[in-house]
Amino acid sequence: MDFSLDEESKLMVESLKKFLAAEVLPVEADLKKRGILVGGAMTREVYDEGAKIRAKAVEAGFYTAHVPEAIGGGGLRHVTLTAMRETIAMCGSEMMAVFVMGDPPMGPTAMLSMLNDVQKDKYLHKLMSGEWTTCFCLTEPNVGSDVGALELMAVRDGDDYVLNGTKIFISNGLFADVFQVFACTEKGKGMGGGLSLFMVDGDTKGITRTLMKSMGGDDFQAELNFEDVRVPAENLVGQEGYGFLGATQWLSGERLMMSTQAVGLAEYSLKFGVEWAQTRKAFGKPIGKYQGVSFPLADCRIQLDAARALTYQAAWKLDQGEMAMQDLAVAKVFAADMLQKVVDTVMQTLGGIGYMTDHPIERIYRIARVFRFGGGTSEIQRKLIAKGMGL
Amino acid sequence: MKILVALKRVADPDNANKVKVSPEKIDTTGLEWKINPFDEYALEAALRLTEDGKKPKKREGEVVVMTLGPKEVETTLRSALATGADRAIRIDCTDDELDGRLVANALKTVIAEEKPDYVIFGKQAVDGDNNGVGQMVAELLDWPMATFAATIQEEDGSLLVSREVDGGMCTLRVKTPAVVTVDLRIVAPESVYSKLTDKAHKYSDGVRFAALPAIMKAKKKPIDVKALADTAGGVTIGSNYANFEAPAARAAGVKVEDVAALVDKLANEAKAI
Repeated sequence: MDFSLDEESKLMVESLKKFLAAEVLPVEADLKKRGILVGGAMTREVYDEGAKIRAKAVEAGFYTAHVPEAIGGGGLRHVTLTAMRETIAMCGSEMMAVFVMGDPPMGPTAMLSMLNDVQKDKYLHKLMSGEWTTCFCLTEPNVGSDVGALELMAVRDGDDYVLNGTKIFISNGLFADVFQVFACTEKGKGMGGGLSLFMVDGDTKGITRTLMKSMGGDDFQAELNFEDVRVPAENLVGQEGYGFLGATQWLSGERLMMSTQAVGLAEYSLKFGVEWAQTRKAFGKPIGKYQGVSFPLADCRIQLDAARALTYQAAWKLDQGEMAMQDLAVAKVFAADMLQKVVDTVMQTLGGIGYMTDHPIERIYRIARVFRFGGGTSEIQRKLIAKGMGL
Repeated sequence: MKILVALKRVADPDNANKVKVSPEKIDTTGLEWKINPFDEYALEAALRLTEDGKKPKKREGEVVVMTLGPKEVETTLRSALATGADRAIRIDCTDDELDGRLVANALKTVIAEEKPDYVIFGKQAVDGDNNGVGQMVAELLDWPMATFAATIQEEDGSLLVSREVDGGMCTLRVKTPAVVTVDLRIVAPESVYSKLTDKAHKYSDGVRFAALPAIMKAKKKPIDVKALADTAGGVTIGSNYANFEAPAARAAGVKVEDVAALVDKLANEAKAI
C-alpha cells in the first residue's frame, strides 16, 4: 500500500496553496474587514464574491479536478484529491475556500456522468464552467438514512413529471441554478426501482426556498418545497426508478470528503492548542510542560495521524478500483470522532480565550459536530462495517 | 526572443527550523524543497517579458530554466515548466560539489551555447544569501548587468531596469544581451512590460500559480541533462567549508521599568539615540 504523492500531485498541492494564499484568503480577509462575511455565514453578497473566486478556480483547473476526464474534468486520482481537499480544509478559510473545488455542495459531480447528451449540453457545461451551481437534494423531513423511503413524489403527467414534497438541509439550496432531485416514482419499490433522479431548473414554478439556520452558523442550508412542480420528462436522469443506484458511487466520495475535511480541520485546530501550550505560562512555566496539558494534546496527535492514515488508505483503495465501502465507513466514523475530540481538547487547552467568538476554535467547535451525521451518520457507517464483517 | 532563468532549489524557508546542523555538514535529509523565492520572481518576470498581457495571452519567445543538482532537482524544474517555462536544462552534480564561482562558470557555458537575449536571476538564494552568481556570470560573459531590479521595461535592443534606492529609483538602460537580477518588487502589478504589453495592463500581484492542466502537460516538456565536467570549463570548487553551526538562540530581552529607563538604555547602552 503506497499512498505517497507523486511529483505531479505535489505540484498540484503546491499550486493550490499558492492559489489559496493569493486568490482566496486575502479576499476572505477583505470581506470580513468590510463586514460582508460575518461569522462564516453565506449571504447573496458573499456568494456573488465567491463566484469570482470560482471563475478563477475554473480557469486554474481546481474546480473540476475531481470530475472524470470523460466529461471534461481533471480526472485526478482520489489520493491527489484527498491531499488537495485536506489543504483546503486546513487553510483556515471560514467560507470562501468552498468555491475552489467544485465538490458538492455546488459543483459538478462525477454523478453527472449519467446525464445524456442533451442534458449535458443543457446543464453539465454550465456547471463545469462555474456559470451555474447545483445542489444535491436527498434528505426530507421524514427521511434521512433510509433513502428507500423517500416521500417526495414525481408522477408522470403527459410530457412532464409533477413533483410534490419537501427537501431539507440542502446545502447551496438557496443559490443553486439547478437542483439534482431524488424523488419516488413508484411507491413501495424503494431503491430497487422506485427512486429516480431529476435535473430541476431552480426557477421552475412551484419551488420555494427557505433558509434553515444551523448551529454552524454558515447559513448555507435550505428547505426546498416542491408544490406541483412540472419537470419535463427529458430531465429524468438515466432510467426511471434507478437514479439512486447511479448516485451511490458519488455518496462514497462524499464520505471520503467528510473524513478528509475532518482531518484538515483538526490539523488546523491542533496548531492553536500546541502554540498556546508552548507560550502560555502558569506557575512559572509554559502550560505544555505539564503532562495534564501535553498528554491530551499528544493523544490528539495520535488520533489525527490515525484518521489521516485511514482516510488516505480509503482513497488509495478507491484508486485501485475497489468500492472500498468498508474503508470509507471506517475512516469517516473515526475521523468524525477524532475531530470532535481534537477540537474539544484544544478548547480545553485554550480555556476562556477559545470560548470567545473572536477565536477560530469557537466556530470550529460548533462545525465539528456535523461530521458525525452529515454525509451518512456514524450509526449507518457502523452498520455498514458490521455488515462487511458478516454480522 | 529567448530568456534564460537560473533557478536554485532551497530548503523550504517556512520549515528552516527543521534543518539539522553538525560541524561537518548541513543535513538535508527529509527537507521539503522549494524554488528559491527570488528565482520564482525571476521566472515570473521572464514569463511577463514573453507575453502580451492580454487574455487569452499571446506568447512570443521562449523561456528556458536551468539549474544544477542531482536528479531530484528535476521536481523544481518541473514546477517551473508547469508555471509556464518552455524547457529546462539540468547540470548533473551533487549539492556539495558546488560553490558560487563554479556555478557561475557552468551557467556561463550553457548561456554561451543557448545565446539568449537576456538571462534573469533572483538577486540571491535565501539559503546562503551570497548574492554573487548573477554578477559573476555577467563578468564571465562580459555582458552588461543590472541588479536588484524592481522594474523591467523592454525596448528595442535594450532593457530599462530600475532598482529601488533610498528616496527613489535608480534606472539603467542596458544593451542586450544582458544579465538582470531581480528583487521582490518585480512581481508587483506594474513592474514588467514587454514590448507587446499595453502599458495600461496590470498583472496580478505576485507570482502566478500553475493551472492543473499545465501541470499535467509539464510532464511532456523536455529537460536536457548536461555533465558538470562538460560545462565547468576546468573550474573546480574553490571554497573550503570549514565549519557549520546553527545560529545562536536569541537571548532573552530586558524589561524596563518606565519610559525614562528605556530612553536611558537607548541612549547609553544601545547608543541608538
